[in-house]
Amino acid sequence: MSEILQHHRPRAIEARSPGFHLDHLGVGKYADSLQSRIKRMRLLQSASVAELRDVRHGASHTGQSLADRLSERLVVLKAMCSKIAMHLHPEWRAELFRKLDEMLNPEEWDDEFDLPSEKSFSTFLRMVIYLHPTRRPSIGLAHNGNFLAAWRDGENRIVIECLANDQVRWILSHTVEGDRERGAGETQIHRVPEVTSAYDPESLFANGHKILA
Amino acid sequence: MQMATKYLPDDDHVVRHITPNSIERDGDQIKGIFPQAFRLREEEEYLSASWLEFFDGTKHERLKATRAAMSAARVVRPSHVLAVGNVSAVKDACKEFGLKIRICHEPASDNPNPAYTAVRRFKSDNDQLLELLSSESWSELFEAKNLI
Repeated sequence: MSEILQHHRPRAIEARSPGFHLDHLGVGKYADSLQSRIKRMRLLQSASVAELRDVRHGASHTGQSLADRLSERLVVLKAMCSKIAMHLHPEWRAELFRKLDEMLNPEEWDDEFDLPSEKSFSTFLRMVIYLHPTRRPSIGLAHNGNFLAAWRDGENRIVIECLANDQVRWILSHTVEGDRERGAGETQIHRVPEVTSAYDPESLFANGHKILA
Repeated sequence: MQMATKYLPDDDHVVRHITPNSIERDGDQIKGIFPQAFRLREEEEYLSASWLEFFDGTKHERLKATRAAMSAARVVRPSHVLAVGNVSAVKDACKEFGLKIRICHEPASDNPNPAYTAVRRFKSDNDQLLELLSSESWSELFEAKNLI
């Protein structure tokens, strides 16, 4: 899978002379990664991305047909994507729209599922912006309308269920030297890297085993 | 009205109907199913499934018959998936998390699926158990479009 987000190197680094590397100061990749995380934290607080948090649960429209309710929800979810479009790679944005069309297709809709939650979708979008994965996730729904995102590398995978207000439930399974390990928990999106670090999740989030910049 | 209940033999298999939003896909390729496919809804007391060996024939013939039986009770579209798990493996997985489940064949006169099966004493509040079921013990997947 290819890139999910637009890459922009921090200006402070771009502005430096060509021969300058943080490695020269002995701080190397750690500082670069820290800088990148600070940048992403700032992104979460930038106007359009921060506004996603204010999204409200859609009103229930009794009497409306299922097709109308699905179509209305689809419009809301796509509008949310459009608000933060500048942070998503155009190809990924198009794929996300296609996926939403598919998920909310009345012909395929499972009546036992709640409509996809806007609050959960807000968490999903903010999580993608924060985690900055270079591998695109598989997207699904839980029957309560929560968005699910799965990143996989062979038999290893992490599944993240997006709850409201930046809260997520994560489940990770991977194999280490032939032994299967599993972990699960609930946290805020900005804590996902820390709480999953023991399971070395970089190969799940990154394309071609690239370490995230 | 419920008819006689029977525990499924350990060597037999249970089949769960999975709809598209619970399927993990990479493009057109199915990679797995989400663990949440095994989560009980608030009003559910047990996990619904079907008994593969209720029907005779080869595995493929049994799967086709199971799909047909499920279709009599609910919509099963070509895009859907049937997830198959061995009874003993599913019981062992649940036991790992302290659950002594009962997998019961529970046909009922008002249920058009004669292979209907209930996984009783199952609790779905442990995400690690759901992951174990979806990625190992109950993870053999068959696309419904190939079972017509």
